[in-house]
Amino acid sequence: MYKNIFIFVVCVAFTFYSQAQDVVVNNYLPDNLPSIEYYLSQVIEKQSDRVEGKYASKLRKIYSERSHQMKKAISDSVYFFNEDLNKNLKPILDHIYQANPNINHNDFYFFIKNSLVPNAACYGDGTFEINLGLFTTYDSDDELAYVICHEIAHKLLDHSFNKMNEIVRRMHSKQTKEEIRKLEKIKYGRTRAGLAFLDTLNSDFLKHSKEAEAEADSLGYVLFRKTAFKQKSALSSLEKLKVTDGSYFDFAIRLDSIFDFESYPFKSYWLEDEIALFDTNEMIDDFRVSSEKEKTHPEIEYRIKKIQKEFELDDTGEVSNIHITKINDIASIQNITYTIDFNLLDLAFYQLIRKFEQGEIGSDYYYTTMAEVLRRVYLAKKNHELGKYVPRRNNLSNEEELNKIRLFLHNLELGEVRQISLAFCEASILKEPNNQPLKSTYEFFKR
Amino acid sequence: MNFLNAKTMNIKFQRLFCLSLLLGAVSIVNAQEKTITDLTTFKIKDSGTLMDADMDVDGYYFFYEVDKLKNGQREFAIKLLDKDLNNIATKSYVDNKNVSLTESKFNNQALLFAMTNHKEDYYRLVLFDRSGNEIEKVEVPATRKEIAQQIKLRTQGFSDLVFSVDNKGFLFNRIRNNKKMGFGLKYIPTDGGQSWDYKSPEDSKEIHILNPIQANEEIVVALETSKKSMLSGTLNLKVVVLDINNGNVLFEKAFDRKDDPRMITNAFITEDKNVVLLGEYYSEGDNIFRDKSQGLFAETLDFTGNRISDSKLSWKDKLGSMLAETSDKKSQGYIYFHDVVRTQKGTYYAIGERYKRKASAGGIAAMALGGGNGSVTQLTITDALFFEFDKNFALTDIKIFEKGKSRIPELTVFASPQVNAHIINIMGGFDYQFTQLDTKRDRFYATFIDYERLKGEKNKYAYKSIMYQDGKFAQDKIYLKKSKGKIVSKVMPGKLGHVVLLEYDRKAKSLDIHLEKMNFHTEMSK
Repeated sequence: MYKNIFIFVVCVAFTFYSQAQDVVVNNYLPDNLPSIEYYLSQVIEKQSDRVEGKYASKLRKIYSERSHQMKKAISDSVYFFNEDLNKNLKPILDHIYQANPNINHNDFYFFIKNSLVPNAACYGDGTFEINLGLFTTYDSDDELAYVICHEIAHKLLDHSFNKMNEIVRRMHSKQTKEEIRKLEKIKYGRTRAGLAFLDTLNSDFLKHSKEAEAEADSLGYVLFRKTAFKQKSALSSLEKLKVTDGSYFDFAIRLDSIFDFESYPFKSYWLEDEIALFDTNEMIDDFRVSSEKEKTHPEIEYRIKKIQKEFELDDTGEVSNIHITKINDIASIQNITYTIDFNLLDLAFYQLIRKFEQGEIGSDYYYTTMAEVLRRVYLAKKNHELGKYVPRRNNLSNEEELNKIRLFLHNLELGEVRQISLAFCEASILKEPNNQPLKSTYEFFKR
Repeated sequence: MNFLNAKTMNIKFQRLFCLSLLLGAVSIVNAQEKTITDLTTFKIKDSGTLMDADMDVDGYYFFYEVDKLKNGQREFAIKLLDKDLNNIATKSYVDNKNVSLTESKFNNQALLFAMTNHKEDYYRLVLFDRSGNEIEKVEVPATRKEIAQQIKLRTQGFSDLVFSVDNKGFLFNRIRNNKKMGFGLKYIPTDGGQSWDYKSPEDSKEIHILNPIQANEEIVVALETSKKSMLSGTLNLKVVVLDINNGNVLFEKAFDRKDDPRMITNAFITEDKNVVLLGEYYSEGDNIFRDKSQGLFAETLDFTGNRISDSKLSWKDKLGSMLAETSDKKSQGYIYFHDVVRTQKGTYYAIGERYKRKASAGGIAAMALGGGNGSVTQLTITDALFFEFDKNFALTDIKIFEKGKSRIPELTVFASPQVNAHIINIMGGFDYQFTQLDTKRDRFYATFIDYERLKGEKNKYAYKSIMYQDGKFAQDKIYLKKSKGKIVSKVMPGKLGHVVLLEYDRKAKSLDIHLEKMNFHTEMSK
């Protein structure tokens, strides 16, 4: 049950995130897959060659698995390869490198990950990840540049490599072995004692992780201030990451008006919830260890204050949005596209409604795409597969608006999905009479 | 066969969870980490569903042993998933090492866990409120022999220990060893009311078994069966109605063999404070397990036991003639009734399957070849039938849903087809699985496992759900995937109108479990 602590420890060792992690997949593959795979083999091998000492073989084994995992992630389409996006990201990266000529960036590669979570990561071997959700969080090239500088700082400080060494050393140290031996001899309450021991280990690793984040903030700022990007953006960049869980999903989704049609009125029981076993918003867990509640990163407030204390920031100047605007346009649509491609239909639903109502996407795209999402909901239900892709409402989740969509999609019966979709298409065709894809989806439902 | 029905779910769920426990271990790559994992792994002991009287699933529970403590005590963990399969709670529980979590129920106010210990002289009932706090522990005295008998009956698919009464309390029903086998019913309130006990007479010379079948905020309706000995062929049946607030008997109504033998399959408590009993009736002196019934009945009684109405529909009259129209004489056979349900509108539906005694080619061949164990006759189970009655229990229609033939060898050629059908039903040989009642939307869902013979492809088992609403029937099916190689596939009952689909890949150690709504197209059926 608590083996996930180990999985967590290994993940933390490899990566230094800007925020919480998430895994989403898509189907896109790069044109130059063989060369990317070759690159990955090279950089990971290089990292592997650096290891020495008592635990070298164990570390090499871990790096060998890392290479395999990355290649698998690409073939599983975890990443998004887009020339236009890269063209707009490149000038920001080039600017950072030019301002910091001492950075050896020959081995650097930034993978763009299909994920709504505002997040970036450094894997220590030259590979980095930026989530699509991070791009759409920022309004200026400057803010994005600071996060990139922060990730590069992790690489320069060799945090990932050191962390992995530390974990492997600690896990196989005499002290740990002795502790385990003692645990094995415990007759009564051994599992609880084992959990407490794991908790201590985990807390220590998390403590180091927080220290590393603070270090990367400082060095990242040092790199950043050498650029022409505006210094104040370092703070606003962090400020925008100050989000609580589920806050992206706080936009009110008015399903009862969006799907209320004269020909097929909205039914209140589509949003009717069932009585829960427990009347609580929090998971009840008598075995939860304290480190499970800890975060990998220090509080944003603390990080901002630390930078302000260490450096004198110039808060003047106009920020640039030349590249981020284009990047955001691409990322925003890709965020919808990948959720549809992978039948993450609740996420697609939410984004479409939010972005349409906030004017981020046009009506033509909205009507066509929403009709397609409805078609996929219909097919998934028909094949008894919707539960594979769309989670059920969970009272313990604070993603209330997303919960509402999940409840709606699961409460609907197949025939009701068809009726709603027909009414939606009919109403949309009146507004978009020349929209051929919409008409074709309408024909699908009519059949 | 890869369907888990309600009766076998506890055992199968345990296996399933052992599989899912393995999943967590896959990323542990070396011995050191494995040692720590072993030290912190919870060991699964029991698992099951929280199912109410309408066969609606409220959630799922898993009972783990966590730690050995002093004096033969253990720390256990009770893990709960809600009806949407969300992991919502893991509670710690300390008890003796031999304890098992036998059953769990939810009544909208509290959760009850029935703990059984075959080496102690009591059952322990643990109640949690909806905030997850333990609110009460009730010890119900019982001898080890009684507990052992109860466990044996449970493993055979009989005798639920706990019956939940929504927003009111729980009924705990156990076997007692009096002079002969008896029962003890204990009421545990969750609404601040008083607890009470209702027991069979200790000096009775007969075996008594009680089975609560309906309860609301006012009464409990239970079926009490009695017979002189285990081998006795005469079974007496009576309905006992108790006041839920104090356990007083409001009335009893006997359906003895010599007077008015009836088989009661279901009961309903109506809004106008009547009890409706539904089932099959027999001729005076007939044995309800051996003889062919005379027809179906719906009897309405008030809370004092006065008969308001008693509608009977005989095979000789309309029931038989309408049934005759449903098939040619050759395929007619008998009907085995699994359930009779009453809709909120007051109409009734009797759910049955057609069966016929036939010579078994395989059995005869085995006999001819000297392999004497093969049965020369078999019961061939075919279509599902829904008999529709109006408010006055007048037969209005018979809906037929074609199913593939299931052939079950008869256990004894000397007994009637009816006796064999009863035995085969107890053994789970019919295609019928269960009926879920959705009182909110006035629906019911009857579920069958159908063996479909398909043209041009391999025959398949299908999980088939037939839904009734607003006078219309509709059905949906899911073909059951055969567990193949490294892939283990399962189908399990879910909440109302849903099914749980599970696929475990032994090689990839990945578990895919999801809950799906069944889809119903109302244009089908007869």
